[in-house]
Amino acid sequence: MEPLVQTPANGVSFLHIPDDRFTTARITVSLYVPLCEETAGLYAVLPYLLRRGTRAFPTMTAFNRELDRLYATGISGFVSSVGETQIVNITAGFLNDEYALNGEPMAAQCAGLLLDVLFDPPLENGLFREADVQQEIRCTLESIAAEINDKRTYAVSRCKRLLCEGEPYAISKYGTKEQVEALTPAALADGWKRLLATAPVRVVYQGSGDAAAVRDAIVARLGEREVAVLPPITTADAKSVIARENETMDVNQCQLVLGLRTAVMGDHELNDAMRLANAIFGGTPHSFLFRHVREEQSLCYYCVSRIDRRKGIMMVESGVEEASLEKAETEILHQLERLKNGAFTDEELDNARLSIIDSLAGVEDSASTTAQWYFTQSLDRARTPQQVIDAVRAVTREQVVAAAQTLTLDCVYTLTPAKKEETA
Amino acid sequence: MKQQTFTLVTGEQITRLAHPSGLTILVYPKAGFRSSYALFGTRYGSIDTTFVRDGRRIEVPEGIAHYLEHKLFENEDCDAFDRYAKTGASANAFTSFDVTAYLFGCSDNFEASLEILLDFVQKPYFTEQTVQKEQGIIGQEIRMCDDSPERRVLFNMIRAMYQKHPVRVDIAGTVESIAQITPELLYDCYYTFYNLHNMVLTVCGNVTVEGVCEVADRVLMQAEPLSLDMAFPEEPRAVGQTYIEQTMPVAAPLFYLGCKCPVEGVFVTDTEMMASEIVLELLTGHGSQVYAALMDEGLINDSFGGEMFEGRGFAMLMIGGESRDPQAVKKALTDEIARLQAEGVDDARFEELRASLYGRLVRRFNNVETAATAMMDDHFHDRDPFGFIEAVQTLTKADVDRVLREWLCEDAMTLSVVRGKEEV
Repeated sequence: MEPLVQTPANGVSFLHIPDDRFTTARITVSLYVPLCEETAGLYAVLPYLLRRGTRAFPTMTAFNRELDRLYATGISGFVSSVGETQIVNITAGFLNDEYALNGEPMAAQCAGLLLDVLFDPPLENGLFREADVQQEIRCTLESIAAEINDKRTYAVSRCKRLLCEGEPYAISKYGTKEQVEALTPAALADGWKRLLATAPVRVVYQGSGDAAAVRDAIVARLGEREVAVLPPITTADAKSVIARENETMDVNQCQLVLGLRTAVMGDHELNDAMRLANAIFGGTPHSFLFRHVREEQSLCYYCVSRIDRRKGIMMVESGVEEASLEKAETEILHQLERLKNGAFTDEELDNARLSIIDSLAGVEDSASTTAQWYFTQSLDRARTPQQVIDAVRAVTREQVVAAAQTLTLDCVYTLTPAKKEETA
Repeated sequence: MKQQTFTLVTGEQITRLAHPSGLTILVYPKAGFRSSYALFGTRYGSIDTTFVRDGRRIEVPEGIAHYLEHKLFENEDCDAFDRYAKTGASANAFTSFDVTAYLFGCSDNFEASLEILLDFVQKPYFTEQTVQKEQGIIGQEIRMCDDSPERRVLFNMIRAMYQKHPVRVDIAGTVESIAQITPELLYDCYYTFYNLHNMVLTVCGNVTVEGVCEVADRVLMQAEPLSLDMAFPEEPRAVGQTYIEQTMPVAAPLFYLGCKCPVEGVFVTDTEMMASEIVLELLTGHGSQVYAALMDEGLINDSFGGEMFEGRGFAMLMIGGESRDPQAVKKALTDEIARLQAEGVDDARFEELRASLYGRLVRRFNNVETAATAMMDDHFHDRDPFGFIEAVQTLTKADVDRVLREWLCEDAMTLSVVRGKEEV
């Protein structure tokens, strides 16, 4: 099943995956903008505003009742960020025609709704309606505030900010409270028009239905336009002195997050070797971190490493007792040194490779992981899972060590329990 | 070997086998898939805190089922994760209120991984030393859960709602309760509940019935017939507490409004399950009037939603999310319930929601992971693989009205709230 990538016109790239193994089909339209301070809040609110309805079904109630009638068709709008790009997404997931009990032409009808959500929202005097705008601003502000609820995610995002201060990478996909509060119906309408007029667009069509008709309709509705070029991702060296930030809160468990930099990013030749280095270090239940920090020392329930290969970042996350914080950090850094020194057996290397290949080989067995895969691939350099598998097979031990040696500790973030008097 | 076949709406088949060892095996081959998923589960969870073994009545510490799940990964001579490392499979396990399951997903080497799964779960090995070592790891897992407001608001609700049924006990136990766990107690639990007659293997994906049987024949050990004395104390209809609150660092209050459902026998019926899903959509669906009203008043956001949750001897409808005023949300929902009880469900809305429910069920077996998990859930809840879809086809408005009128009484409801300190 080789996906077919097409670039019909006007900065649209179209990927058709004619997969008939599922009872459903899915269309994802993604519009790409640079992640920047001035517009992050606007593009965070926009997809949620759009998915509220269409001119034909102008209220949330009417629109969602139509989706219920169409066998729980899911039309969603959401914002995401990959590297230093912010992405406005609208998706439709629907049953294949053959399962419609009353013979509804599901693919045609649901694709029509998706296009109307993107191109034909219910406007008043050319602007989004005030009540809709206020509601979505409120919901986005509540999402920003709720970041504190999940302590692990919160700690990772604080560490990311410490690591990449001043770089677009540190900007939240929701923007800031102040930017979101300042939004108006006019600003959102302008932002929406600018997005359609200039943003590179990617459409992924998975499953049955007339994909070519959807492609042509999107190209036609976008019309003639000047497509913007996304800026390249910024790079920086690790800080010369390790930055430390501690925050206290009324919690039982400490969060420990280490931020590391590497020059291996983007198209770097060691990029696939870095996948392996990460798997050996902290990416599997047989990794260094799992074995030594969790199983041998019994210091934590989780201790994992993740990499962002686009940005050249690694984060190590763990939840530990306050008394064990120093011991855990020392042990994590000790394991990092072992990795850099190539202190892994051939068997450990083989196991890491097997684990990565096994998970890549299963990507296309789920519509959502397939969509996720193509969604995170760079616009001009999409590889199939099989191409990455082939590349991972070819990585040598020396390349893994060379990739590992580029990792440099930049900062350490800790969240610790507040002393009793502080919380009283 | 006794064998039964079920045909799904897709034309695919699930085969249920009564293996001579005593184990029930369900196999769902999926054509065109590279990956597979397997779960090996036992009807044993945190609620099984007292039982009779060899004529002795045994009471075990809270959290022991979950502790046992962790310790089973260590056999006498090796660790299950080390064995999986050689096949590339991604393995895990979980313990719920009434089920413990060991699982893996893989793209290659399925039969070798299946052999590991069936083998290590049949070979317990507990010593003072290995049991002791886990205290630190699970202690941190408990601390992590203590810091999760989403989990606290749910578990507090269940504890306040149930007066007698052991579902009121937290799955992981407490740092104090797990300190009482000994190898002897683990063996008592293991030999009582990890009997193949009390277990199931579900498999979905790139598999054949013959391939699964070949491994099962080779690895499974014959189990003695089993009789379990597992009656739970009778649960009153009314909740223990109608309101419960905890203070934690959160941005805005989180809440769950739960309704304890009467369970005649061990589980609610398929029809009652489907009727409950419709009731939840009437109260929380984006197409419902009460949802639009709560959004307009700024009382809920995207986190709002509902779920039907059931297990051995318990069932509850739960509606939760984030709100600046959970009491006001409760008031709006109970007003809407009263209106629906008085007026009944609107004909058109009932048909829309029935179509929507059908659409969700047609998607239920799309992925190997969700399919294998659903097969296990259904088996442990004494349901056939297509029970729900049959129930939805025969569902009537009267079924929905009955759930509305007989289940949703105010004295069967608990409101659980987690709020930040500054608001107190």
